[in-house]
Amino acid sequence: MQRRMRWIQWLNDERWMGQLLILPMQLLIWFVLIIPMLIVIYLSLVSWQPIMGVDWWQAPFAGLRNYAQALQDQRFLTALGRTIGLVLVAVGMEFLLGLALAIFFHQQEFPGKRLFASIILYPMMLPWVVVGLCFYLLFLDKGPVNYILISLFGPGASVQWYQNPVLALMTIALADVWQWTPFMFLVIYSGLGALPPEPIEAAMTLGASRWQIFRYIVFPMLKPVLMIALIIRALEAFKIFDLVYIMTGGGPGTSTESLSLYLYRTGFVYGQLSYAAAMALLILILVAVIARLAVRPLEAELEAR
Amino acid sequence: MSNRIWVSWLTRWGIVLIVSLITLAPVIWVLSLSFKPPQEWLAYPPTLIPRQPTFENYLVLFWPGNPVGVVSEMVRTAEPVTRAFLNSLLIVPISTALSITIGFLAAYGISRFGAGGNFLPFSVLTTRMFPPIAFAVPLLVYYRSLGLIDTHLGLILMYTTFTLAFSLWMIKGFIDGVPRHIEEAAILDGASRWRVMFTITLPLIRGGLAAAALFVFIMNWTEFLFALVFTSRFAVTLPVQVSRYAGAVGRYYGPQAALGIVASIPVLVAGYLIQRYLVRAFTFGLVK
Amino acid sequence: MKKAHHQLTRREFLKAAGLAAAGGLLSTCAPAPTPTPAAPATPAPGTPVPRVEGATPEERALNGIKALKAAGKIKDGDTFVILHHSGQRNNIVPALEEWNRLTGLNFVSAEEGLEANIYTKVMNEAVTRTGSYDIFLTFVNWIADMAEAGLIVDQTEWWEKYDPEVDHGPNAYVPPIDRFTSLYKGRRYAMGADNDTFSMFYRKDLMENPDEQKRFEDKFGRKLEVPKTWEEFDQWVAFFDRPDQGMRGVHMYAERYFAYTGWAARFISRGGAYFDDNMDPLITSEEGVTALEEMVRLIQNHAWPDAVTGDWSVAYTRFPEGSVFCAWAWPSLGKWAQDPKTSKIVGKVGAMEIPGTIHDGELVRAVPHVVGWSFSISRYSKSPEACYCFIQWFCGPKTGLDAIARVGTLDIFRQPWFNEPKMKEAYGAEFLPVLLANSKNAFPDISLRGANEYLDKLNLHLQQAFAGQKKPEQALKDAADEWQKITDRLGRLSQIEAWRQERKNYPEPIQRLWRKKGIFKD
Repeated sequence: MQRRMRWIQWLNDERWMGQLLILPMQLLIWFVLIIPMLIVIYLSLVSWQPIMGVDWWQAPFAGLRNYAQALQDQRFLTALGRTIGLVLVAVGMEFLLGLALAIFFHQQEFPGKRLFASIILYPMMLPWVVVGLCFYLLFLDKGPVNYILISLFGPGASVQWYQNPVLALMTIALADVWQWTPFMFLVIYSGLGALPPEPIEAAMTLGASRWQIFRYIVFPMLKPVLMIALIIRALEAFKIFDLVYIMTGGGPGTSTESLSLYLYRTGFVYGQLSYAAAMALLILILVAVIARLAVRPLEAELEAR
Repeated sequence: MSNRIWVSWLTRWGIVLIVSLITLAPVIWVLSLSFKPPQEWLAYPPTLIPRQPTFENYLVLFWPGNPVGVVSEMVRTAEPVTRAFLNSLLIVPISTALSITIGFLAAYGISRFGAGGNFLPFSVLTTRMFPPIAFAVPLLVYYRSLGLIDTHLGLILMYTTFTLAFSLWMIKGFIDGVPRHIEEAAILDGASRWRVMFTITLPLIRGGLAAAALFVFIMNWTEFLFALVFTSRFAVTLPVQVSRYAGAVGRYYGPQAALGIVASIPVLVAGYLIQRYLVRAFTFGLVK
Repeated sequence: MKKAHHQLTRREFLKAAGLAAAGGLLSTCAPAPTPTPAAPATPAPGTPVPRVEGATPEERALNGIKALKAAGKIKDGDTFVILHHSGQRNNIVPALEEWNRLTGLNFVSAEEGLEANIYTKVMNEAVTRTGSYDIFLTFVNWIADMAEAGLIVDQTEWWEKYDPEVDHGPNAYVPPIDRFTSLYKGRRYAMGADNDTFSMFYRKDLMENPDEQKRFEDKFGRKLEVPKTWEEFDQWVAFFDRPDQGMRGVHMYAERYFAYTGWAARFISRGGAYFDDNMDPLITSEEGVTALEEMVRLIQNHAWPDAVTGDWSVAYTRFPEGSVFCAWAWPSLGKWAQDPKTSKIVGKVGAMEIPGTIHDGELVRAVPHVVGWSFSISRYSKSPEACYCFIQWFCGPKTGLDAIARVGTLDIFRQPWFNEPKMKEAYGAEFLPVLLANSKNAFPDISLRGANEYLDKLNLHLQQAFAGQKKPEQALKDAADEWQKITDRLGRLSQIEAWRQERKNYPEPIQRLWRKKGIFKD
């Protein structure tokens, strides 16, 4: 009896309870990720391709040469810049559209709301391969989009979507926005649903305008959720691969190549696994630094609460 | 007055319809493609309504050797999608449930007790920052030593781990939003911390859990790269199966579109059912 | 403060525990060192290998299985896995059923829907050595990579022992396809199961139109005939380029993956070679630059823009729908364009030999053999020899005929098959002689170790030239620079050895031309 009490007490001790709660996650991450991660780091420090006929653990040591090579690799650096640009444009649009839609759906009551919300969520439920194929076909030279343009504006209106790099990137961004605005909508809409109504009701009785309520009450309360949605989405968009691979293959030349596509080519097509590992670690460091800067204000705010 | 109501009614439905239309246009195109016979897959001028609509693309998914029509000729010896479907139906819900459960526990520990320190949530997030392609081969080497390649357990472990960051961060965001005084009141009433976690906090963030679960489910359901690299015969999932409708003369767009539509139905149903929780998440807790 | 201390120790503990565990696990990750090659030990040259009895390759293969069973090396129900592309399902799966019935073994198929992913799978297998695949059906030019990565076995010995009748006798493959689908560094590392020689298809109805014939004669002062040289070809295409009628002159690949094909056909027929005997690239030569300038002009003036931006399937939509006058591609384009289910131009299709270049009165044609599939055998298989027996049986004159006649990615490769009624029905009687002629002039893709990278970098720069982002000369120079880097990284000596063997797999007229021009001595 005494022992059991101690046990329960221990379970309810804040420190131990906290540790216990995070334990399953820790174990899983350590179990699945830590060894592959060590292998990645090791690979980035050697010079190895499977076709060299040497086993990976016997490959000659290369020091930081792979990293130095990456920092001078024009194709890598341009792909990096291009990907960052794509993320800013696509995620920015997804955020604004998702926010607007979520507010609209939160405020309005109309029949069939659940059905329409389902429709809005639909694009992200399709397998990515299908989304890529769908947009690839839509924007083909002789695809439906050009057909509509031609029948509206005459034969001169046909656009070569994949030939001009800027247009091709816009098409890719469009596909991404179409596919992932639903995510922003989902997170923000559920965030709005989780807001406590009293402050809003209080402000309303005080005669605040809709904009004031949003700006000074809803927005601050929603901010953690908004930040999380933005960060998660930006991290995912940064890895954009399927759409680029299917729609342009990175072409013409490398003018629409994303970072992940270049990594794929380096690692899987050229078989330069150790160079790919070095580039990936550089990307990890860069993204981690940026994300850290983005997360910090969020954490500070939560601590201040 | 009645004029204003009418205008707002019109704008509201205008917005709803335009948004739905933009969202649905590509889907309708896929849907139409899935009912087209091969000669119409890329035909010009493109048609929205197939000239000779056919169910074949759907039929061959489940009965590849069927005696009717052209498409079955192309995929005669293909494996029916049933196996991939069952695999997905097994792997994805399990890993989603695991991810959400483990993520919820950890999120609570971090949000309420600061467990793991400041850096833990961020370090979990870094698992989503690493380009997965560079990770595949090392993970393969590791999985090989565990004998997990092309197994259901292997994919479940992987999917649970890779989506933990989403579960943790999304759920933590919602727990952070629950005012502590609600919990503290319950503790003063004599409830244990564990009881408070499950009976007070958990119901309050049901909407957030639902959103996170839906998202994690979708991410797992549509995951392609790792499924492609880590499966070959036994644990093939639906997105990989989609890529197998290819052949002597390119991709078989019809069956691919049909499978895309079929594959999205379970998620669509889940999404529709889950919305109840999204909307009325908080009200329950505050009514009493 | 106390809390922080507490956490620190815990984290330290976890870190230490984790590292210890990681160290232990890491060592288990490293598979056992490379086993001694399962390939038969090479006997002293000249030692005759005992031949297996049997009248046909198929019979010898089946006898081989019997002997292996008798020796207790395999037993009924043993499972062997074949990795192949989804497009070959119809070729392979029915054959597997028959083979299993004949042998009592259990050969099963593992398919991949994306060609590129087969390479990924193969390379991953070379690294992880799971033994989950026994036979690989892959692109011909991956053989070098697989051999050098230690994944596949040298089959030369079994070719002696079982005699697949690939390079001799009445059943032989079309030369030089017999050579470049199997040889690497002079050894047989694979067995070809396909023929991916390009052919050019054109609109016969327009060629037979008297009005067109007259207008052509008026314009060029010669009869309207199928062009023999690339020069004539360019005029011919320009003549039939009718953008106002929705029909462009030509579809030839200028996109991300096969842009090299059109350029290479001209370059090689002009007497060019990819490398010299020291693996220094020769593509920036006058032959290379002129060939690319011609191709860029052709594509930019007489082709739809999706020749540059589309993928390989564009030829299969453009030509059958009648929006290009001529197009080149794999043999299947002929089938596709003659099938009323997929084509609007049934009965209007002609096939022709790929044009060439005239050197001192002799017409030298060079026809790209693009990718192509061949069988290789995993070193980690339970019984590589049993696997060999299967591929010999599958590629045999009789079983192969049945398998290849079924609709799939694999195409006709043995010479006698070109007279078979079954094949005439499958390909069209008029097309087969053309395909045979083209096959005899077929030259391989770059098939060195690192072929993927050589070809991808070449394509990258060629596509930039086609898209107008670069001058042809610059594009070739950039590609050559990248090639040098690859060669140095992979080891120049080994590449030189491979290239000196590989260039001997080119058709004889091309090798003669090289000797004449003094590019290579032998």
